[in-house]
Amino acid sequence: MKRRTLLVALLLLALSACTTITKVGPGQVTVKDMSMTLEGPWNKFDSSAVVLYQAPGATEIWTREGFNLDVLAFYVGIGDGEAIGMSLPRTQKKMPVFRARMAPHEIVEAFESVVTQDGSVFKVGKLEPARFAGGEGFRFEYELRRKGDSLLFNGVGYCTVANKKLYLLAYSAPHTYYFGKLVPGLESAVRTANIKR
Amino acid sequence: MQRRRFVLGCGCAALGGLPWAGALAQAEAPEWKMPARFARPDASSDEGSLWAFMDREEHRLKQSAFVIRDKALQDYVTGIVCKLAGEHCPDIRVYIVQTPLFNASMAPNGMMQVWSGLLLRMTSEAQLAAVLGHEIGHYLARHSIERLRDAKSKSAAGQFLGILLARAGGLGAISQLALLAGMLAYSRDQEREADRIGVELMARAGYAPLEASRVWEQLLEELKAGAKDRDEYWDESVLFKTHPPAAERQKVLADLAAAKGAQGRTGADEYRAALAQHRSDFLVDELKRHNFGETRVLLERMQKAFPDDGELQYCLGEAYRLRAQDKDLTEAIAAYRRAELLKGAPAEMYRSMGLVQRKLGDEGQAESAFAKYLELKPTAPDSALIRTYLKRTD
Repeated sequence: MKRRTLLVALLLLALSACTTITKVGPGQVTVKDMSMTLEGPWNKFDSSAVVLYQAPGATEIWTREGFNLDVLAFYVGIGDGEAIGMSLPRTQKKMPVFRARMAPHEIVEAFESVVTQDGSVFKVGKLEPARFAGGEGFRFEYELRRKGDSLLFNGVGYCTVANKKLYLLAYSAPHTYYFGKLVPGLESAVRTANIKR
Repeated sequence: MQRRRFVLGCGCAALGGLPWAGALAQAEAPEWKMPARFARPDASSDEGSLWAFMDREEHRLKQSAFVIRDKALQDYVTGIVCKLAGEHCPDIRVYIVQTPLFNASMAPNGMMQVWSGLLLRMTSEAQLAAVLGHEIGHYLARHSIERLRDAKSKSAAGQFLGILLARAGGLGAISQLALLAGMLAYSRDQEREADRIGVELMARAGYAPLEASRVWEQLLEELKAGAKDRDEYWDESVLFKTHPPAAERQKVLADLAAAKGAQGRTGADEYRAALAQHRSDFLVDELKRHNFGETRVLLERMQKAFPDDGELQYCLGEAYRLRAQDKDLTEAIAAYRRAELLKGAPAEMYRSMGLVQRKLGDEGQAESAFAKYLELKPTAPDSALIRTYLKRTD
């Protein structure tokens, strides 16, 4: 546990030294052409500087408690034929390509292949239709066992395809304590999401 | 990349290196004698530092959720290790790790890791014994210590190694182990010796030594197919730049086996039974690698052994569906149809079939497949979504 604390401290030090963390919210915020109204503040991470294994190549990455704990990954505004995510330099894996006619199951499989490049284990749970960002979409629940420290995360994702573009939000936090505590804030933010269609 | 690291032979890699020309002479070398059990080295010695480093790694591994905690499987693999290692058995601790790659490793303190991808790929107990025997060979010959002392004799590397071993915990544990493994990569001679000991141990334990060369043959088939599928130029000399040509190794292992007498058991049935409870999970992990070339070769090899196995046909269909190039979707449907006629395919096959039929534009067939999935798994966690697929095909 001591080593893990040290690793977290080193990670945060590296993040503070190399990247920009800015506050987003409360109030209305936009990620590309998707808007959301936040009840409280989130922290936004400059994802162009460091690759986070739980969200490689995400459009934006947000957190409430810190990037080693909870992560809200946005994969939004991805057009037909464009790659979802980014390969980790050491894997050089071919990234899945988004197609506007993909079924929800296939989108979840694509998302899984992006966030498990480091060897983490992903297991999808409930997968159901849901309204999201003003249109028809779907919601999925998942578990992610992080490779580095074998910590178990719970996750929830929302997705829709609008104007032939992918809009996917995925939120994960440790199964113990954090997910249950933080997911209501995420769900209330998700309910305000909107895209001009 | 991880596979390549294994083949290139880090300090913890199975089959990391290969005997070749010259090794034939070793087949006729004086009889190898198993050393006595090793005492724990003095903590202040270089070897003691290496053991302490590995003890810390083992402590971390023990807590990892990636270790498969199944007593029956654990006992089975440990039993093979004990047959091979003889009196060293009490000093070796086996950890079966959920990682879908071909690898096993043995640390000088007796920590042995066996990855699930290796277990899936072996077709018999004798094949697993070949890989474990090779790793035990490195352990018995104390190759890690030799490499440590060799690296330390080079001043810059030695200074760095000293810092690495002394300051364990200050860097990320994984990067430390990777650094150490890279610095202590086995030499050609050590790999040659580990192969020779491995075949010797197999023969003494009553396994068919020829299976060692078959392991290598199978791995090569997979690597070549994977490279071809990725449109990569297959150049053995790059992959094995620190090792001899693969074909020669295969031949030498066969010659070593012949020198020992090709008799012995393979234990294919026992192996299948021991893996039965985990095979489906290992296959799912394999498919998630999205490495079509290697997975196809593996599945076709397994199908030869188990031609009536519907789950293997289903997995082949999944491999085609996930790659989805050219005629892959048609191939996927053909594999699912074959699986339907056999036993063992899961209900999820009909969901996959529906997804593929939709892509192929056959809405009627898609609807039938989705309906069949719901019939078999009415309370599946994705049943509500599947019902929306049915509405769209109406």
